Amino acid sequence: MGAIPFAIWVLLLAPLAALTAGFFVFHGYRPSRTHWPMLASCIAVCAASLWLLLKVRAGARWDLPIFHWLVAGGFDVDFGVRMDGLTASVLAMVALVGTLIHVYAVEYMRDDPEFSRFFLYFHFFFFSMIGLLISDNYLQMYVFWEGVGLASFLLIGFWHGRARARAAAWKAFLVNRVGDAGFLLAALLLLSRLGTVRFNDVFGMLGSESPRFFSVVALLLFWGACAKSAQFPLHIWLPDAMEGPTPVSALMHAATMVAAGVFLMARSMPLLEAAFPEVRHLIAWTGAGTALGAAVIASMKVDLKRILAYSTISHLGLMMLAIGMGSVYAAVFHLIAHGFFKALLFLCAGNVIHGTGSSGSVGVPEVGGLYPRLPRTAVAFAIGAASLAGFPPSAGFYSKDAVIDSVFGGGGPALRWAALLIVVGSSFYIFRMLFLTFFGRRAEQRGLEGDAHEAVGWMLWPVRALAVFALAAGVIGPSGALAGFLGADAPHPSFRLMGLGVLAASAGLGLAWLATSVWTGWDWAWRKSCPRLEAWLDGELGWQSFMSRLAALGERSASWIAEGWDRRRWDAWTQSLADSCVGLGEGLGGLSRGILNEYIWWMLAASVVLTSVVARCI
Amino acid sequence: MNAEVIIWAISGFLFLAGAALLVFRRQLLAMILGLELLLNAAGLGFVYYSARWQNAEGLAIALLVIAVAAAEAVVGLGFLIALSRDGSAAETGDIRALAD
Repeated sequence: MGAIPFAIWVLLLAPLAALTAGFFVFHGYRPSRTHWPMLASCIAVCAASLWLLLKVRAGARWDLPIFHWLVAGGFDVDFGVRMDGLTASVLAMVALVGTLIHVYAVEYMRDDPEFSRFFLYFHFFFFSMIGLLISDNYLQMYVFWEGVGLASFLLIGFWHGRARARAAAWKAFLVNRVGDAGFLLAALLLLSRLGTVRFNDVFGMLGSESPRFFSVVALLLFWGACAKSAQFPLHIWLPDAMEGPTPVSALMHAATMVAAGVFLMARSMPLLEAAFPEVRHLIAWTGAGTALGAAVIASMKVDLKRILAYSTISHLGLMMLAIGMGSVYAAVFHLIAHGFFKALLFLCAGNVIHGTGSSGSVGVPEVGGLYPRLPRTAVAFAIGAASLAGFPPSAGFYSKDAVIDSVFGGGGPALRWAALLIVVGSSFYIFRMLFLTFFGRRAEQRGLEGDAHEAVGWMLWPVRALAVFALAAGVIGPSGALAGFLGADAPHPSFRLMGLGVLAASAGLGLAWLATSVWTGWDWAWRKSCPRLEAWLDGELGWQSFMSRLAALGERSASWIAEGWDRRRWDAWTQSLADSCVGLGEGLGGLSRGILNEYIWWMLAASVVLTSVVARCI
Repeated sequence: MNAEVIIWAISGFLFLAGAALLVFRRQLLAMILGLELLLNAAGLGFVYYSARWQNAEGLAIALLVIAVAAAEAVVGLGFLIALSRDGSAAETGDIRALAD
């Protein structure tokens, strides 16, 4: 407690200052240098968040209002900061990953004619996420939540000359709006019933309302988190969001966008505990179902970035599963580890795209056997893949183990099997992608890689750094550091579960090796023999066609209402009202023909009538 | 037949004549004449009742009415002269600048 430390001011003001300088000075005068203030702000934010991490580790906590923000009558919300273990640990990951991706993006976007605009949006994305993490109440968090949504819209549609990018940007924005409505309703419900939206006050008043009320609030919050963190049924925007530049995908999938939903649920854990247990069951089942479905779909996609997108959905499902099991520790641990290895994998995919000179995205049909040409990227990708699949001693191994541990601690057999299958699936799709892209060339691959080249300089350093984190960040788990931050019980390593996890991951690896390197044509053969199965899987197990039909139904009913009710009844009624007014005006207009005598006649007649009326009354 | 009835008859006749001029004649001059008749029909009543009830207020109002009538005649006749100089006819039906 005490005064707000300098580092927290840095977190808020450094990005704001960088954005101001970037927008008013660099964007107009030195557009090719707009990344300077952004990088400076990133470094400041990194330093501040690491300092805060150390302070919080030493036991410091801050939860302070900064100024009166929304005041109207009895309605009073302060703008404040909350810096506890959860915020500090996620913030450190976001700051580190965000900074590395900023560095990467400088080189990646170097030749883009709109370099300056890109960096303004990009840094705004980063700033919104930091604001979201350090908010001390739901309403303030909601504002930054919307900022994240806006920035993602601008960045997905950054290459707005492409129709697909525009469509993807709109899709992301609209689907997120659907989720945001849930978050906003939850915040307003809390405000109206409890009179406060501050986390501390809300969590202190959990006994004052019925579990039913908190269940409704928790479900609404989860609805919002479903949209941001791409959970079924609101996950549909994330695969299309690959239309943006690759650094955007990396930032969105690792640090900023999708982490927000899981963070919200982790933050609201006391509220979830006050709700009916069925709410947490629903979250767990949604997470498990999403993770399993997305893992299956990721196993058959051919576009590099789309495989990674479905993989993100799958891993977010795992985090939600952990949330549903009531384990903030597992969810946040996996969030942090996932941030490192997914950013690494996306940057590697970016290297491939950049190295092959492709403008949009490349996929399995175009490139293969890239290892001799991009050896460093290939090694980094292999490290990321091992981390994602959960091989020791990577970060993903420990975090996945924590999730599995939470599921085996509180879930039924169905959820346990689902968790293990998800591990097999993740391992399968990521190693399939690794083998198909980097090792061995299949006859079916067209071979765009002919003049592919390795990424250089500033594009490799962030990749190297992230590879180190993806390997080593797991130490925060078994050393008890993260558990100390979150106030959770110290992790109790179960070698049985670790063995199970490694076994499942090895099974996936073996299957991937069989499917890509032993029977090299398998990926093409099954598509040829069962095209309907491929179409069904490609359409997200029929979900996309169902959504299209649902949308068509909505459109038809809306048009039925518009035609039958609005136009035939309501419009007809208003039209007749307007018509009678016009008729009345035309009839009365005949009285004023501009003939003075007539006016005087009417005046006299009216005087006589009025006088007689008044005389009678008197 | 007492004086009151005679006065009311004359006053009523003047008023009706003035109203008829206003309603049926289209020449501006005739309408201004009609207006004067209306005012004087009222003024006659004021003078009679002032004399009958020995109250000078009626006389004062009659004087006021005459003053108003004079001012009104000035405005009306000036209007008339301006219109005839302008080349417009002195008939009200021809003044349609506001109607059209």
